[in-house]
Amino acid sequence: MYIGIDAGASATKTVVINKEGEIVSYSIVPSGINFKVSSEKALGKALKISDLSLKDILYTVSTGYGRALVNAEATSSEIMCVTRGVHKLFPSVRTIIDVGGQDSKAIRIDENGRVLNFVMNDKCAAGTGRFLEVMSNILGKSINELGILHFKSSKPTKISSTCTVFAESEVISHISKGSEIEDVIAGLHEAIAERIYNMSSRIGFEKDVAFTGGVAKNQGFVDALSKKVGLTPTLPEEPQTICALGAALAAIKKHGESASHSNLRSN
Amino acid sequence: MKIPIGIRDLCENPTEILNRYEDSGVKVIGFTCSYVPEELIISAGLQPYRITNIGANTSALTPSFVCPFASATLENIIKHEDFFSGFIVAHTCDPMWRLYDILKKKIGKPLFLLRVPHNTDNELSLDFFRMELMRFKKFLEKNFETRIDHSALFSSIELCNESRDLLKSIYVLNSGGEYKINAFDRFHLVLASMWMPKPEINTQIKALNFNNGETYGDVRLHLNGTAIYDLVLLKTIEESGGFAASDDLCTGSRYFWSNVEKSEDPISALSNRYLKRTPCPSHAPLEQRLEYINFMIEEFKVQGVLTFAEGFCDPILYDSVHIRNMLAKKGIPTMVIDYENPAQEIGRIKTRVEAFIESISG
Repeated sequence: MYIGIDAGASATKTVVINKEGEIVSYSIVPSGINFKVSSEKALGKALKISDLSLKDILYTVSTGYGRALVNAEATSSEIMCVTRGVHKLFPSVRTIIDVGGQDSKAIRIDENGRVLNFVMNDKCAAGTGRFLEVMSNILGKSINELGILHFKSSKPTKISSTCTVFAESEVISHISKGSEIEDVIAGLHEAIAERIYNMSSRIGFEKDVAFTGGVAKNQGFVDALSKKVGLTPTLPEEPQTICALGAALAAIKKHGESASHSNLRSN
Repeated sequence: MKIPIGIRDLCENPTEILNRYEDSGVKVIGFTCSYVPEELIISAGLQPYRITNIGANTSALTPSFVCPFASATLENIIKHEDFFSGFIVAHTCDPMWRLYDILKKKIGKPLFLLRVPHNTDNELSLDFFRMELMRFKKFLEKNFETRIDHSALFSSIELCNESRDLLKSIYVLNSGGEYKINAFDRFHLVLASMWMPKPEINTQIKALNFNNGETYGDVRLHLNGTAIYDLVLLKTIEESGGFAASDDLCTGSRYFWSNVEKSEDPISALSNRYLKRTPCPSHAPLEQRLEYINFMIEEFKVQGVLTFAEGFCDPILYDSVHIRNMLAKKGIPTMVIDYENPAQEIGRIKTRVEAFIESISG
């Protein structure tokens, strides 16, 4: 079995695949403050689901924010892992928009799954899952509720601040002025969609477009971004584990290479 | 190859050598960029020293929209003023030029603004720069009570040519797809050449051995941008499996790629060399830069180009679009890394660099 661990800023995901690249099991646990602990927990959980043990593991690749801190034979960047994961499941996808806990990225790929170009959010987590977490806290609604309430809005409130802290004040002021909570929620989804759309526009939206990452589980956000981009996105069944799937696919490749080839060159 | 420990220490703490100069009574002239002909400073019996942003925070004297590089350079000048006998500021981009106005009010040492014409490819500019170098020469002669005669200038040109030849000879070891010296080590040598007495660094470079089986990353990259002093950026590329085979940086190949020609009129020869070399992104013509990058990519068998855009350097960002478009036709990917403080942002930078390198190696 091959393991991919995506130690993300917010959640740690583990995917177990067989040598054919088929998903055997997966798990998602909160990252907390210790990636080593959370990754072991996620791995244990995924192994237990598929009735496997550590000795069944041939190779592990880690990715994500905490990739260097977890137990794995090799690491791979999030960009490559998301790309591998999406290309495996949906070979017709040419643009990926991945929104995670702390970063958002847009990737253009070709028909062979090669990365042509990519952009990532810079220095600021305003267009990411963390933004929605902060808002869900002050609104007293869970992330799941945000997705549901979004569709009850008839007139989304315009949230103009891009900074999370200022947007928080703006939301409080809208609520205190009597705005409907579902309108504010839809407004927040539009604000984050707008930000991600602007970033992704730099590389364009060639069809098919896939949405991945934990935030793609929020239907409200998916609705806002789909409208902004103007097309129906390809959505994986479990968007949050795509990057870990890509890491597991990298594990197959690296396991094959490790015997015969070293990554480094000597002069 | 092993970089001598003295050079490693110097690059970690470039101002340390100023104590040595002070103890031995060497008069040091600080200069801000590679458009300043060190030949003139050396021929006046003075030691040139390139001022950097290393070890300084941004200055409270500049507004927040000024690039952190210029601002920290200003801070370093003010902080270390006592070690210097004078300063030369080159008018390249506007933030660097405006340092001159602030310094006029803030320091007591002789200060010279060297105006570098922004269109570098015409006779008028060459003439102007020649006159500007005459003015620079007079500034040195007047303030340091010396006379720069032709023979002093000829020998300093020879010394600087030797330094450039040595740096270039190391650089071209990577030609044609070779993996001989990584950017991290190479930049140590270039930077040390801007801080140490030339005869001393030249001797050390000559003694280096380049065939002792170093291991390097596979993916061959070209580095584009202005100046990099913070070598952690280069370390990151190498740790991510990249091999920065070539560059067009002010602290890299642009500093030494061409020489001053032998001439009866050394000032004209200097004007020619400094204006005709590949121009800084703040200067025209763009086409000359593109041609240079193209040449580097062919010569060093480059697979991808990384642009280092220190915040908020507009000229680099404008250039990056032309470079991207030019290289897209050749199927060579490019990526812009923007940053303000490499030490604080290295995690974010590394994620991008790793992804870029991995996307090339497949």
